[in-house]
Amino acid sequence: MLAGKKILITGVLTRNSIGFAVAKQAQQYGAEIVLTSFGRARSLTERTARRLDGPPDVLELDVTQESDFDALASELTSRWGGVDGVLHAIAYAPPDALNARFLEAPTDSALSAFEISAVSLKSLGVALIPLFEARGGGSIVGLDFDASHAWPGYDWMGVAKAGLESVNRYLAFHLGRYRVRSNLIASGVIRSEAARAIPGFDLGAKAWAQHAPLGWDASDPYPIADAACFLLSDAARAITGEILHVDGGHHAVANGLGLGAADGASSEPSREEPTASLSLSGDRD
Amino acid sequence: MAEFDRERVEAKILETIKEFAADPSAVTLDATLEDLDMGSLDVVEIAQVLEDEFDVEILGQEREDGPPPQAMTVGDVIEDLAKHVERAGVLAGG
Repeated sequence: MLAGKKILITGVLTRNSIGFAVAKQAQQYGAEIVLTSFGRARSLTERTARRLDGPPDVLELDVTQESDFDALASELTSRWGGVDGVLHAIAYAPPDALNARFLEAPTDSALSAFEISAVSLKSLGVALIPLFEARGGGSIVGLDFDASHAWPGYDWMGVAKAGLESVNRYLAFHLGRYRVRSNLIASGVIRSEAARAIPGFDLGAKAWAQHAPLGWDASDPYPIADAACFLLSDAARAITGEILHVDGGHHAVANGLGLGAADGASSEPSREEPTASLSLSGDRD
Repeated sequence: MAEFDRERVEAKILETIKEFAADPSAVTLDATLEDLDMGSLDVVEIAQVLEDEFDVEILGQEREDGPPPQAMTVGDVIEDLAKHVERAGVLAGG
């Protein structure tokens, strides 16, 4: 599906990262990949990269540093001459903008979440325009969490995701002329290290598994990775500005009812509960 | 993994903490990660070092609610991660 494609993948922290699953599947489907990381996370990303074929190189990208985008673009130009696709898996909100601190969160923290988690999609897309053009077009895929609802504990990260959804539409609008597509995947909850920063995560994961028509395994990012590979591939060549839900169908049903409600049963459906993980935070801290 | 060797696992955790700490001489059992200017990413990376060293899967294991990583002492981290290595060995039938 991705044979011969050159794909840049951000956001790989551990093998539980959604980015790691995308990297692994992209390689499986024939793509050549490089990863990005920065700062303290870099040695962790490099350690995780060793679990991938190659292993792939890790390039520096701190999305708050404009010069990093220039350096990234010139490195990719000399390495590959062009790029076919990029996974944007970058999100961060300061702790004082999460965990039910919505009303008290300092404006700077809200803006920081927006800059790093939403504006960076635009910055990354723009930085790669010449590289996409060199390959006759390209595909940007970002990771979203359904922003049409308010979620407990998610707070300003949720607002940033709403921003990301709009950035995605405007990017699709403005990059179409370069034959560059931009799409998001609104996924179900995944138990990555980043997700551990979200308070009440385990409760959310359990509810998701119960309410999604197809069920949901929060410890398995591979359904998301496969969908990302589809969006990165030519099979999705007429799709842009889209938000693809890969969530077991959770978004399509009314919350709180569960499968049991449809059967008139009062008990909760028996689904195997995904295992929880080390409670550690942050793709970026 | 072979039989769980607590002493060896704990020694490896301490060694890795010292490797990651800006000032290895400040690493004592009572020092918090915050004292050492370390945080959650360090704990995740230490967990990965242990996975590679002992051929176990720790990331993804269930973990009881505890203090945020910055507030954990070196002693807490050693105890917590050693427990995870032990459990991983049990789960793997090792």
